[in-house]
Amino acid sequence: MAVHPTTIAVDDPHAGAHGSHDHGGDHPPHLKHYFISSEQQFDAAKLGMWLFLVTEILLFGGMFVAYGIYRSMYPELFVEASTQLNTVMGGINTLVLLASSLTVAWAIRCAQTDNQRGLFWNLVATVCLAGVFMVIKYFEYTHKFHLGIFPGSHYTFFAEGTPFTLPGVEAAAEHGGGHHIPEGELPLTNQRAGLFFSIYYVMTGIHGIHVLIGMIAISTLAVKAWKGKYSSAWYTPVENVGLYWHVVDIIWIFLFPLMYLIS
Amino acid sequence: MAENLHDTSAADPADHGHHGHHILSPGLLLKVIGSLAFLTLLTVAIGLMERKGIIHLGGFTVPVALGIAGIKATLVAMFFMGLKYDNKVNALAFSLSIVFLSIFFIFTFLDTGFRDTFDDWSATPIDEQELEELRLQERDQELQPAIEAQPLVLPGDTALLGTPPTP
Repeated sequence: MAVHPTTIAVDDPHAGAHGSHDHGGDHPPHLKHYFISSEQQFDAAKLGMWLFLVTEILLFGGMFVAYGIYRSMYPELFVEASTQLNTVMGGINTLVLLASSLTVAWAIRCAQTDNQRGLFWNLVATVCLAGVFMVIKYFEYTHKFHLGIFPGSHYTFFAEGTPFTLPGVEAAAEHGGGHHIPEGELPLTNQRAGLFFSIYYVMTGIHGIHVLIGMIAISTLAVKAWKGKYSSAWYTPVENVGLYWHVVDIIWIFLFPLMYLIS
Repeated sequence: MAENLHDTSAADPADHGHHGHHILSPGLLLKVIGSLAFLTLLTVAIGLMERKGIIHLGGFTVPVALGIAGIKATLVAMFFMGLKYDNKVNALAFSLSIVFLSIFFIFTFLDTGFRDTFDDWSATPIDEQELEELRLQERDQELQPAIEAQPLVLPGDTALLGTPPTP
């Protein structure tokens, strides 16, 4: 970002305003003294947010690598276990998250155009859509718990006659088994099924925690937007939380086909 | 002054890259969400058709799914996250994370993908190794009585070598 020296001299809102914090003049109240302009402060905050998002991408990247290794080791297990996931619910959740990305982007547009009502209601809509996502996720999880689909060695939803050769798996299946199998449900015959669901629960679980944190952050933004704290002059928190929310969306964009659509 | 600068840049939408406040038009936002929804339905349709055996992509299943996801992620990053209009340093940070993620992937798969290339049996899953070890331990235990029944020094040996010194 090239700022001409002459621009600094003309633009500097601190000029002639040293020694006092609550002075008048053209020094905007949000502007910290160590920044030359609102523009520079905004860019610095945004770059900081991007660096945080890089760490988020690497966090999930590690889990995607683990997914890749185990999928290449047990391709038939992943195909079989993936049928236990509800593609319709996963697909709806994808659309819900995409819609929430739209409302966040629209909220930022509203902030930029000083549309206070639009900003507030778009933020509220985002929280609601995130809530819909979590409710659908809740139904998916509880249905699986009900069937005995747990991570790792706690997985017990095996079909009759599953060949058990691994130490400990049969014992776990017998211990947790004995439940009747609801109609239309297909128990698995792969004794390593718990492996897939370890990866599934960890990845979707940590993603779900990110959605919850996003809901808290966006609710806070909505309250402050209601009080009129943001305007086209200053809306950095809206912009940065928006970026975070889009990354949560992008991660789900990759999780959805890799978990639900394996064939 | 400062306001004037902002005003002129806001009035000229072609002049992005010099400020971080590009305002997305409603038309563009709707076009992007439309494309994202279409691509989602497309990837679901392809996945379900393959599962039902209507189409066969073979080895291209994962690349196609990841390709569609990649296009969706690019749309979100370019427009919703504003990378297209932003300070280029943000795009650089984002791209670098993808570069390092690729290094992570490539080197891990160079390891796991070629493990049995040099007669190395470590690609055997750990549970199978443990099972083999368990089997060997059980065989050892079975053979233990027979081994213990065998005297260390036979009568013929004492005749040849003399009586072993008693400790």
